[in-house]
Amino acid sequence: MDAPILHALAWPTLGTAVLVFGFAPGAALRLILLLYRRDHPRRQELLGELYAVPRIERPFWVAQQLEIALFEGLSGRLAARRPSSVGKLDDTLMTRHDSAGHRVLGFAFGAAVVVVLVVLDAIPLNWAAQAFGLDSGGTWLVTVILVVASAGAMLGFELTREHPRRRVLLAAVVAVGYAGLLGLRTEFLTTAAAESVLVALLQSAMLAAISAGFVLCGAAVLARTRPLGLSRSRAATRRARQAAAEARAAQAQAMVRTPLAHCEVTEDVFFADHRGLRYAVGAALVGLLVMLDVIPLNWAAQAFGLDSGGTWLVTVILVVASVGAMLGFQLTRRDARRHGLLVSTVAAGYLALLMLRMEYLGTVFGEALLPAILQAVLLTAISAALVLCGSAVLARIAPRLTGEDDHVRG
Amino acid sequence: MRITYTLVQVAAALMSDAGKRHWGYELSKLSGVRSGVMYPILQRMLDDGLLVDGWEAQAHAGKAKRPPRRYYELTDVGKTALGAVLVQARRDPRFQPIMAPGIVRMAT
Repeated sequence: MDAPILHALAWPTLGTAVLVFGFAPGAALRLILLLYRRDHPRRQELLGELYAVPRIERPFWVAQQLEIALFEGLSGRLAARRPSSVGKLDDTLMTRHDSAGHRVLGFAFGAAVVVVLVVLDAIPLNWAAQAFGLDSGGTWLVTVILVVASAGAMLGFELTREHPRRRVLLAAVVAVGYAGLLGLRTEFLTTAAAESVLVALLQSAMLAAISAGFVLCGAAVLARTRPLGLSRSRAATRRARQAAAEARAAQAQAMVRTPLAHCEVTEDVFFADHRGLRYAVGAALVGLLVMLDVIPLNWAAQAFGLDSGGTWLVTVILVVASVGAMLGFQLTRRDARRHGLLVSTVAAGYLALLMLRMEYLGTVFGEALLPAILQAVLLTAISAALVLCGSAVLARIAPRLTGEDDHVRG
Repeated sequence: MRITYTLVQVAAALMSDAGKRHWGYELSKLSGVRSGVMYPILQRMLDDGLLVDGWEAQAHAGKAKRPPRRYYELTDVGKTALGAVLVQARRDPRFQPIMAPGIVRMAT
């Protein structure tokens, strides 16, 4: 990637990363805690513990809490929202807005996820906007227009759900838009950055794919988000049902007898089935994380000082190593020694990348030491967080069952 | 009964001072288990009555200028059950590296 792009992109990304991983772990943690139900004790518990965590560990600790919140808080929310025989849902609203029962996300949560996706989409769209060859202000104006169009596409896919013809038309318009951006970007890279056509096309295609991926994710989230009225109605129903469930749980707790005489502990106490993620969903999530990891790893690869082809080759190697680390963390989960060895290796690798990047920023771009350190650390932290998230997702994927397994399970 | 590495680590951390109140971050540090793995185990223990939880006194937390912490404390049932886990782990060579002799003695 060329230097002007790096400069233009560094700050928005840097700002987001600082917000999430760096200087506002408290705010980031509070956002993460929104994934838990309002009455979940973990909300208060994690806030209470945040201030006991040493300042230097906080960003990583907060990143870990995202992992727990996704799989404990979010799954708890979804489980609470799933229709059950207990209590009656608002049938009228459900039939009108969600007859198939696909809308499992509350309005606020769905809207928040869509906003996050739109913000993330601003990064590739800003890259694309540079292809218009305007000055900084003009580029940002084009970025805003593209972001609005992107959000409009998400909404459009949702609004045309019941109208296949309009939906196809919208998809065609969006595809033409992306093709236009791809062409512009390829031309920009070949002329302004003197990239070869193949590399330029590859970069542009990846950029368009990332942005299109965000738009599709946003549309999918919207398709699973309840309208505000239905969401409020469901929340009221849920609160009532939860109160009833808590009363029953308290009653059941009082009747529990642990087999003390044999000092036995039932296996299901400790071996909770965390593998609740479907294979296809888990694999898709890991794929998305790996794709996102390409961005920081490509920046890191630039520090090797190679030409464009060499940089992409290094990027591919780093991505493969990153995927290997995700898989490795999962495969060595029950072997502490190998797990420790792997962690050390990955940490050493990231440290090397960090130092290379710092030196690169200092020597090639003449950055002062502090900004260089900050940028390099953030880059490393983002990539490491993506690897950790990937390994966490892998740990929760249910193994794909064969037909025979299905038969046995049945 | 199948025992996992993380279970033994959490059990050992809890039993290192069985009468004491523990809290999440401290347990995570003590056991060396990531919070993503530890909290679900603690929740299961709570659900099964091996632990009870509580909140730090507001006055104490206020003095330290932070939100109150959630404490976990072993019940009598929990002490016996986790003691059994540790005794079983001691016999299993897989867990030797993490089984401090003091902890095992206490558990027996």
